[in-house]
Amino acid sequence: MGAATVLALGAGAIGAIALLGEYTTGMIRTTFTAVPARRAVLAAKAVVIAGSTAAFGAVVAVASFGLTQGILSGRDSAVGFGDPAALRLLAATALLAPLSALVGMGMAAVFRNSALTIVATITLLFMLPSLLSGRQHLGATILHMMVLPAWQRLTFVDTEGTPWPWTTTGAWSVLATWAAVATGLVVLPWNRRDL
Amino acid sequence: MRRVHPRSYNQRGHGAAPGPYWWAMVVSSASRLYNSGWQPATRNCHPWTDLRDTPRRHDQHMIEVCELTKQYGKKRAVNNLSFTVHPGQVTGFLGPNGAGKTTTLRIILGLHRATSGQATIGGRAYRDLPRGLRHVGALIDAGDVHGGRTAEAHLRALARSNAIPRSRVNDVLDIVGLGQAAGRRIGGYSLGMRQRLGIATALLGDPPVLLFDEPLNGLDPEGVLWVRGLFQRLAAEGRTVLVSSHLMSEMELTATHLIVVGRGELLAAESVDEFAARGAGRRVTVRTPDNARLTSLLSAEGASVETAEGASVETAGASFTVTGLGADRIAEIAFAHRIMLYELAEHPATLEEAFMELTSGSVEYQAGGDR
Ligand SMILES: Nc1ncnc2c1ncn2[C@@H]1O[C@H](COP(=O)(O)OP(=O)(O)OP(=O)(O)O)[C@@H](O)[C@H]1O
Ligand SMILES: [Mg+2]
Repeated sequence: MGAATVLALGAGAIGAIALLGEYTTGMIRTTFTAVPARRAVLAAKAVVIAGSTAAFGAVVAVASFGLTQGILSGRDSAVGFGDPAALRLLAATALLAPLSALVGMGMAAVFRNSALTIVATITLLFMLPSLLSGRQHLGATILHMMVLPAWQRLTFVDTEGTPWPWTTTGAWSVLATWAAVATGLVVLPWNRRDL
Repeated sequence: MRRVHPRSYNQRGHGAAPGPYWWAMVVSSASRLYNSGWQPATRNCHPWTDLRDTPRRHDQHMIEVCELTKQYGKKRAVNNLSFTVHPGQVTGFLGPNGAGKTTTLRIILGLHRATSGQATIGGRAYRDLPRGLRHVGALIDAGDVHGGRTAEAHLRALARSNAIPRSRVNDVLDIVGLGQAAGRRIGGYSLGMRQRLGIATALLGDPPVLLFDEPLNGLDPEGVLWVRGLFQRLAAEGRTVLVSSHLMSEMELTATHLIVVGRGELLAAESVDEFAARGAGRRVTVRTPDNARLTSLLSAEGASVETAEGASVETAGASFTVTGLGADRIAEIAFAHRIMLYELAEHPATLEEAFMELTSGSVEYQAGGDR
């Protein structure tokens, strides 16, 4: 869990910096003068960042899985790479990185300001889920809409009798919605603003 | 029997259901119309521009600003501004600080949105171009760069985004004299070096239209001379060159046409010669032994007479300056009244003076006091 938080926040920072570096230096004006089709520029950036963080996430996922299994194998509780739960864990962890990066990018596109972007990204990815309690129905509902809890749902095999259980399909769709909204924030409405 | 019309597909629509691609036809013909540069709103915009004067091939490189208004909160930076910039000449874009020059250039480049009105290049909004560098080169702010990159990397990335061959990068760096510094971080560049890099960026796509906002800022005298020559060469090659400045003295040596703005409004759009001929301010220095008589005669003709500091008009033999009458008319008056003249010299008004006079009502940010 701790490693996943670090991965998510790191990738979120990478995504944010990819856009902030352009907005805070003014380079974005030069870029958009060279390529007036703003949406194309931003979409290309999103693709590059999502792709590279996905590769990074996959490496981290496989490495930590291998490491954990290496330790566990001594205790006879190891799972192979082919196990469905193990595949789900690998996929969810690998996708956590690009998703967080897109969230960071989305915040950068909205705020265009380093401090606000960092605060918003950390709040969305980390602060909100750690402040909320999953015991009440309302808290659990909001919690289930967050990135890291959804990732947790997908990676922890045993849900150890939580009061408000949810399906893995639900968790996948939460992640997909976040990815779609974040990409939308990068590419859609904000690209018409003055620079 | 039905006659077959050129627009027969419309008529078929009455009987049968319209074909599945009718909307595609609408879209494609609309976009063809659009791409042909047809813009209804710009038609009546430029009373002083007779399109027939301009060869057709030039139209696609013309900058047209039409009833442009830009409001920032409560501040109206540009107010109903219309002008045209033609190819083949250097056009100076002048106005006091805060007149709205940079704002106008940003709107032309699609960086800012107009509150109303429009700005087009070759009849199209710049924002509608997928790639810009081959159409328009611009230097708006030399600081709009990523300080951590080298000049070469910066230009290479821009070249790649516009499918410009990589070799062009080193060509333009050599043109602006940054060949030696190409591998250094832009963050370590001086103001003048950044300005040169900005000019290199503008030249990268070998574009037919070039916009420069205060390009001479920070350049050394050699650089200023070089840039002037460069602009004139670019214009002589048939390109459209628009250069902003708030210094008339810079422009009179570079530009052949002027667009003068003040408080966001158009004050003048004419050739430098026309601008210089804005009569008012033409001064004539006169020296005569019979000051009293001549000055009263001149005043009666409607001229105003000024003396050098301290001296009285009446002092015989002291020279004085006449505005509002030409030298020949003064000589006629003197001759008719048998007044001897020792000196009669006409000074054409400088552009700087004409500019100051034109913009005197529109200077917003004036330094206070005499200190
Ligand atoms: N982004 C902005 N937000 C708010 N006001 C702005 C903005 N940009 C410009 N303005 C205001 O609009 C007016 C015109 O500014 P602009 O930069 O276009 O002037 P300029 O003619 O380029 O002046 P200078 O010769 O000093 O460069 C100014 O009063 C300025 O304060
Ligand atoms: Mg300016």
